[in-house]
Amino acid sequence: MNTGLIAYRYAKALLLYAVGEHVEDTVYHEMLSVLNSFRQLPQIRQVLGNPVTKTSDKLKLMLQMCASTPPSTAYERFVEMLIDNNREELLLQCSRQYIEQYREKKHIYVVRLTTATESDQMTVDRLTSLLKTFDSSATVEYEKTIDPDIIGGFVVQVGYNRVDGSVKSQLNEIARNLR
Amino acid sequence: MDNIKTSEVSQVLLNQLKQMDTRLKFEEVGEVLQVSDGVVRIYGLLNAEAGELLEFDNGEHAVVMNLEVDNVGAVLLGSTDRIKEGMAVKRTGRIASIDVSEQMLGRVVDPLGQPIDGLGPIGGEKVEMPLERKAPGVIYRQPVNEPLQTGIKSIDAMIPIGRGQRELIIGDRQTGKTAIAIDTIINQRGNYEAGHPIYCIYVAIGQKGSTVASIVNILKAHKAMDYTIVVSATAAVSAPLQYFAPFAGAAIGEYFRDTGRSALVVYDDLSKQAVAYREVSLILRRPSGREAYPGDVFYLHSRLLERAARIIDQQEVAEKMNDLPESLKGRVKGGGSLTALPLIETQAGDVSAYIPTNVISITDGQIFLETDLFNQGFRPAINVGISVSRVGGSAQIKSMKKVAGTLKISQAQYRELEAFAKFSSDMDPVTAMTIDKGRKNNKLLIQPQYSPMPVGEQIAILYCGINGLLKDVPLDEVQAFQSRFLDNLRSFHKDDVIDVLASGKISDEVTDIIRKVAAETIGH
Repeated sequence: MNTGLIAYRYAKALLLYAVGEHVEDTVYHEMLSVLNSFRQLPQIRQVLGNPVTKTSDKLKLMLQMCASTPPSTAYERFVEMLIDNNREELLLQCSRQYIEQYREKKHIYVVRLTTATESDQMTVDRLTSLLKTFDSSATVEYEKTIDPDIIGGFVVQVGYNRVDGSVKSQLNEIARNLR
Repeated sequence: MDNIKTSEVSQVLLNQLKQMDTRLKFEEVGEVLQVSDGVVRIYGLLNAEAGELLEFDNGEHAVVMNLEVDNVGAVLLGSTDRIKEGMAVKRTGRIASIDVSEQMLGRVVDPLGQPIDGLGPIGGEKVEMPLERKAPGVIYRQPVNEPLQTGIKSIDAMIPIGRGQRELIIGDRQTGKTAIAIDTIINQRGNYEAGHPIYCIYVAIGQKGSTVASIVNILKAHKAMDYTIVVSATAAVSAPLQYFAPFAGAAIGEYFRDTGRSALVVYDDLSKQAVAYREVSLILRRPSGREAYPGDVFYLHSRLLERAARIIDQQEVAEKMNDLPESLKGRVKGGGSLTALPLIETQAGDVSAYIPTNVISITDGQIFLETDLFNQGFRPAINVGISVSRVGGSAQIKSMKKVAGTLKISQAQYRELEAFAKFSSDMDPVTAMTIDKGRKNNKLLIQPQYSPMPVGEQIAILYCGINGLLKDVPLDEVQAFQSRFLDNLRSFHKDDVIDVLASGKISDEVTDIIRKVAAETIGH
């Protein structure tokens, strides 16, 4: 089933509508909180896909998932449309697609930086300037994680590309080569 | 103290460390969206390729099957419960493969090449063979021209199999399909002892663990494990592994084939592989077709069986074979072969079901086994009337062709006459003789399990049956005559009859000796 294509179309329509209403930033933050809810509670997807759950309950749940109270009209209309078209189980994919399309439009790069200890501002500034050399209008959002398991070094992920410079992965690589 | 390996000399280790590429590389990563029944959906991995191997952060692997707009569907090669939603997955740029080594012989492995027989790790120089690989093109092949003796009289005489052929063994449950395959493997012992082995790979798909264990024990008891590798994906393993098992068998077979040797691979059975593939496809939400199988189930079997081939003898051509894995380059030798014996289980003898018709049309012939014949005591229960071998005839040795060339037709005539004879009590002497000969030939073709017969002996005994030398032997003494006759030949005429016939020659002197020994055996 081509869920990706369907979600892409819904997300594209929402973005166009939100831009027309000048609420694309609000919807972006709402979608981020929706995605976060799915990450924290993966069971939500089963509830939304369950045909036994009442649509009114599904709607209530979908509205509560977005952080802003009350939700924006654009978001409210969007979830109602999903329910009308029996596509409520695609909310997760739609939120991902919206976030992706929005970031592409606004040249936003999300950098996931994982270090063993707290990273300093200089490292962050160097990464930002490096990204700016590729795209001068880039806005960089950081998601920093501290993971002592990587022993040392860093793991940087920009979009779907990752550079693993952690001591852990290098040791693993050496072990694999010696096997 | 642990054993010190020869590769653990400091200088070797130093060189290894120096050659290691520790530069940072960009990796393309995705995130696990959903995990279920051996299948994962991964968000991202926009450049992933079909069949590519993916690696999870915890070292588990998966193979890309579905490419969609924003996600990929992949089948897990390990356990489902080690994968969690939100986990990162990276591309490896490689396709799923199996490490093959000479020391795999005699071992039982899973479809990923890991030993499961408790005999420790598999050593030897490892060659990485891809599970999915294109079959050799027409230029790199040659016609089937060398026989693969099964040791079963009815097959070697009437449905001969050649090296590089794909011969289907089809029949209902409990008709002796596996027995034919196992007998064929056991019969290769002679080749192994003679120094030109045919390496055998037995792939068990969706079978009970106990069945696989008993097959391994039978092979061990007949000293067949010396040249055999068992690939086991029992019913307890995940559907993706059952789906990959025949490809692992083919990859191991290709290693022998492309290094100039002969190999035989038995897929037991492809019906269960098709069921496993259907399960994977349905979980991946691929559109289903007839009997809920996906549309490409024909391609699944055709691309697998097309890998059975006889490689051209010319070394300079064979070296340029298409889709050679990097690890095989420089090792290729011409003249190798991979023979495939796929098995298909029918339901109530229905060969017109989807998977049986597909595989019948792909293979170069079929051996048809029937429950009725089995219950009447004709074992192997081969229905020779509808069993065929489309290419094996040209590979049959000359002496067998000369002796048994008319056996199939004369047995067909006998069956027709016997059907009419049921309606009338008195018949002319010619008809009575044809029926008597047919009945005795039928008796001759009965063969106990796990006792394959050398080809020279097969030809000698079939000569007796076909030329009416058994006319004075009562029907219920045919088997006893056979064992006495063969004992006589083995004791007194091994060099001048059995070995001569096995080498493909037949002359009046040989037939005279056979007639004389037959007359003496009857006389006693």
